[in-house]
Amino acid sequence: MKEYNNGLIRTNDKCIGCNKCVSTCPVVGANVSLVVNGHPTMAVSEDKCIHCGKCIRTCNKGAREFIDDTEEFFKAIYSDMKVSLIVDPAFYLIYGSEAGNILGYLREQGVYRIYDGGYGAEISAYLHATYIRNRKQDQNTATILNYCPAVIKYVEDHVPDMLDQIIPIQSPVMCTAIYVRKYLKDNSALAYLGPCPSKKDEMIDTGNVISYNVCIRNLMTKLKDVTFEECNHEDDLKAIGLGALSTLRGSFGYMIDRLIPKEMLSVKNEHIDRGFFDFIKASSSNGGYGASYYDLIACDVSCLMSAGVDIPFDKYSDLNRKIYDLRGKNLDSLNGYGTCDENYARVEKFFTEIDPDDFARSYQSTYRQMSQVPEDTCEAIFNSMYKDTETKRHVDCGSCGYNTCREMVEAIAYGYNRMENCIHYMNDELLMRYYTDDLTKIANVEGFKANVTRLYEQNPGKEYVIGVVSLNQLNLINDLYGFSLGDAYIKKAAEIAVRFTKDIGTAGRLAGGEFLICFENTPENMDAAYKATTYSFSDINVSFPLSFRAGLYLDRFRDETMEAMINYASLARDKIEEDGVSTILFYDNELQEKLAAEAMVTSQMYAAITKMEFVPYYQPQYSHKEQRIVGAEILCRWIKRDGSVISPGLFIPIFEKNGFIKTLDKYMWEQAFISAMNYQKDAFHRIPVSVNISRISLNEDDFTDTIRTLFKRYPIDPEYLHFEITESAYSSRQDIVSRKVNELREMGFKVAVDDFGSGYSSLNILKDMPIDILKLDMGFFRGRNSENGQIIIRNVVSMVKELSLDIISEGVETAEQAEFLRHVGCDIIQGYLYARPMPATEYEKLIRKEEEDMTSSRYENEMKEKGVFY
Amino acid sequence: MADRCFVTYEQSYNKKEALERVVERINEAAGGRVPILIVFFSSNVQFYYHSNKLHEIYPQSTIIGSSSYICLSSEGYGPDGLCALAVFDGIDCVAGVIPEVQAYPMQYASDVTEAAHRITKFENTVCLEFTTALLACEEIVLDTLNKGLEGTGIPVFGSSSGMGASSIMTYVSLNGQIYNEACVFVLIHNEMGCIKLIRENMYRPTIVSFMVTDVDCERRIIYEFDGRNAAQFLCEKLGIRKDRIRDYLAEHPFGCMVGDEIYNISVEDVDPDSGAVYCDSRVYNRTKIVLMEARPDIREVWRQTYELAMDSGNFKPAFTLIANCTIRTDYLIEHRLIDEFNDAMTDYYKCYVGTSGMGEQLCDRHLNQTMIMALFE
Ligand code: SF4
Ligand code: SF4
Ligand code: SF4
Repeated sequence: MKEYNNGLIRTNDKCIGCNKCVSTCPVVGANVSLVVNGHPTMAVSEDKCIHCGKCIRTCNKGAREFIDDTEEFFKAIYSDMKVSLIVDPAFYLIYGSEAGNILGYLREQGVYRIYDGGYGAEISAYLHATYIRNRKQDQNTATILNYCPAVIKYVEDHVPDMLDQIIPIQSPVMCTAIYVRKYLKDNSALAYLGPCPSKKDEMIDTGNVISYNVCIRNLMTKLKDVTFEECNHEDDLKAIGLGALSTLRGSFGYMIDRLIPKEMLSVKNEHIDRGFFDFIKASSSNGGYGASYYDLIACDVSCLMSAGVDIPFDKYSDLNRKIYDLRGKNLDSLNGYGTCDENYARVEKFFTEIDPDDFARSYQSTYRQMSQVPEDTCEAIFNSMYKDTETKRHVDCGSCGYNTCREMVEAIAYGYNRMENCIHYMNDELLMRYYTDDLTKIANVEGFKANVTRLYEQNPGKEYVIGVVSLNQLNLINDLYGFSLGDAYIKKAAEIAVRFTKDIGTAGRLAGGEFLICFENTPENMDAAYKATTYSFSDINVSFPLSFRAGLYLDRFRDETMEAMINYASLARDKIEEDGVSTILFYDNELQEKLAAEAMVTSQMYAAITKMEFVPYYQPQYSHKEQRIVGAEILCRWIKRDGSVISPGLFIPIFEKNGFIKTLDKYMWEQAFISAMNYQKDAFHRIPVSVNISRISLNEDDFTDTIRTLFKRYPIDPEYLHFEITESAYSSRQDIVSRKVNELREMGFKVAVDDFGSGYSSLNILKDMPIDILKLDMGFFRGRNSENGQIIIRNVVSMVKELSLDIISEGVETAEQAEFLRHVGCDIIQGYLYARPMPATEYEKLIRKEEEDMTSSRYENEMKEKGVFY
Repeated sequence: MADRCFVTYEQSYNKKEALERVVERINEAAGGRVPILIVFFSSNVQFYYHSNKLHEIYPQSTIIGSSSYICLSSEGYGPDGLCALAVFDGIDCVAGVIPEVQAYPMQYASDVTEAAHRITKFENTVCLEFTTALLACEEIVLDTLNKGLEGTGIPVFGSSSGMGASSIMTYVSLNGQIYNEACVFVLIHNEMGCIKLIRENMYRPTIVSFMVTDVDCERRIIYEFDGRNAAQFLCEKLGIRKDRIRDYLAEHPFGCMVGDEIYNISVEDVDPDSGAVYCDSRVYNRTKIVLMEARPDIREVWRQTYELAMDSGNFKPAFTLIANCTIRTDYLIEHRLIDEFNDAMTDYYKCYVGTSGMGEQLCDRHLNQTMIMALFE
């Protein structure tokens, strides 16, 4: 960072970066906005600062200070150096009768001589008047009084074109110094006691005739504990005319006015303003504004308001009154009364001894032209401040301290200021942050909603689709490559979403790998959406293609809230299984009904357990050969108290999704154990039952423990209870599944593969899995080519037999199927052809009847054999 | 018919000999005509001599020149001697000087305007300028020239003057007057057709980009990138040690991103302690920078420039002026490509003359590590 705060005016650590000083500072770039250790501050750039001290008055935090030579001055007088003091008239005006006592004290401390600076003011006013009087009417000569050093520095540093406009005469203070040095032959070091920190610049520029700039404020702070004794102090040089008042604003010009013709117009009381010099320049090049001189000072009201004094505003008006009284009294002095010519002649006579050349001054340009900020740089800064319209570029509220937004933008380009100091930018930035997703920098949910609202307003006749899109494989990427690559995936996906909706809608990020999209419902757009299948992310080093699943909601009537639409789209998205290709599902009535049913099932399932609404139903399994029931599969039926039935086709998938299937499984297993226990006691019923184990329960770590606990509680003969595991459960984690199945078999239970043939069956199951029974689904019969199905069944049955497994055909619905199965050697059959699932009582009845029938037919046969006929 | 222009170069440590040969050849080519314009380049050492003598010999001609790192021309190249382009016909020119370029050149903008109004036509006119280097003043000179030319549509084309490795000062000259703090310019109106201005960037952007967040524009010092100490930021971003950063940046200029364009800015020095990066062109706060790297296919770059310049053979330049940055020249020398470069330039553009200075000026931009060309039909 460049070095700041190393000049006469400095910022201390009380600064809060409020920009107030920028607005009062006449120089762009003198105040530089910085962030130091996380705190905003406004530093002073010595390159640009003209030391006017205005900011010291402006800053109400006391964060601006000035440097003067008070300490060096005391060091010098205490080291017995011969130091004389020039006292600014302001000091006498402020301290009145006390002034003499203070100066007397200083003399006691070692000050050699004390001169009233008003004397030099009279010389300076006389020489300025001489210059003005002698100026030829048509000459374009200087018009600016050399009075305020900050004005001079401003011109030298910043307005070089005006340099020749400054009257080449020394200022009042310097005239005093030159007079005492040359005409009073005082060779001691000179100090100046006055109100102005910027006097130091004048001292340096004029060859250090004066060595110390002692500001009244610092002197009086240093002497705050001193009690000043009454003393008969007399200055070694005293002003005799209006010079005693020259510190008052306009008084120096007033002195000159008494010496030049009345018709010569002057402009007084102007302070440094960025535009005022342009005005003077323009008026002088246009043949002149007609002003004989310009009396300019940097301070707002007068030198008495300078940073080097400490007069509160309320005291200032009293002081002013006092000065005007004095001015009246002093009018009859040297330069106060008579016509201008009489006054001038009197003053001229008074100063006959002085050589005007001794009091001449020249000025040096220290200006360095600034380069113009290129338009494209301004454009870029405007845009990064969200000022992307002409209106926004002309807010010109001034809060940043500059008059216009353009000035602020240039200040930012030069490095003088920061965007954060524009209140409107900060507002927009906050809004932006509120509406923008941190990771992807696209809209967040709120931003998306706002954008959609705007889109709707701008396109009242259009129909839009709202979508919730989830990235597939995000978890996999996070697991495989870590979260940073996962984030890169999300960012890339955001780019794709933005690209897809560009010109047709808008996109945003919901959370994680979920995005929101909105686009116009047109055939082309829908076509583009459906064409999106997989995307390559090889540029972020993901080697496999990635896909999404999107739920869409078509907003036909604009009668839903944004939340509701997002919710519908989200529900549709939830219906899609994560897959390797991109899938889109629209939210529609059917889906709505499904979701309503799902909501109902979910809300009632726990109560249903306690109300024992889950009822075991038994579907018998018949043996062709034995012509009797050889087993039954226990199936779950949800029969509500009011008698209505909820289909397992509805509730099982929901339970599988929400995990309740585990609870239901345990419940049904217990029912199966109880049945087996009851039936094994009864000779009629000594037929095995089988019960299902869902894939989800099988995956539970405590699965076998649960069965073992039930087995302990219901110590049945395991021969009478079989477990059915669906074919799909074997497809994943085969080693774990087979371990668990083996544990069941070790307990003595038989295990059946359920639904073999309902999906894409793998014969590997027969090869690899430890099973006892194969339950053949009639899926092989379905489809276009049932002949092929028959061939497969025939072969599967023969294979199963060769593997010494039992085989049961389930889902048998027609006599032809039964006949075919019997023919190929599949003996046991389960299906509607023989019996539907039925309540326990019916099942028991059926068995009992079958037993009875069998008993009577056996009896009949025996009788027949014995020749007995009915 | 005698040619309207003539290029000559005499490589010689002996300034007298170099001048004599060059003058002899110009006179021969002139066939009794007085050159309207002579553009010349020479090393700092010989510059004063050539400037004075050329003016003495051709007092009626406009003679503009600049000290150069090396002189380039279709008649050869080298660090010493004198290289000159003399134009005898088909142009009108008005020249001028902008003094005080370091402090306040703008006060002379009206002189530029006056010069512009003395030229026959604004159309097909270019402002060729040479500005003394090492004063960090090119941007304000460009502001001044462009201000003076406002409303004329005349583009600025020029070079900061150059110098040999052991020199500490550069010079420009106009009609025998030598300056070490000035810009000399000549407005050249081509009566025979148009003037094409081309910029060749032999660097391409890398993926490393950042934003300037603290800068002293006037001194061309960057203190921070993306809110972090500039040198430290670069070291971390590039994965290199602090003591390597200077060398690295010498080969990787900054690319200043302006819309779709990238303008090169070279890094003069890096203070590893303070982290300040000293540039050869002004960089504004919030400028987006991309780190550049030399294109491996330099011959292809030259060919593409040629294609662009010649507009598939539809454009035929009578003579071409080039400004080829010193660092670029060094690159060509270090990679033993300088001979090939000069051959290619001669082959492509026939009658060409060029300087190698410490920056290039094109329209309103001061650039580094770039070659710019002005082709006169
Ligand atoms: S006025 Fe200036 S110095 Fe004072 S607190 Fe505000 S920014 Fe800081
Ligand atoms: S002293 Fe004056 S010029 Fe300096 S920063 Fe304060 S107001 Fe600006
Ligand atoms: S809108 Fe910002 S840049 Fe413009 S004037 Fe207000 S604060 Fe300054």
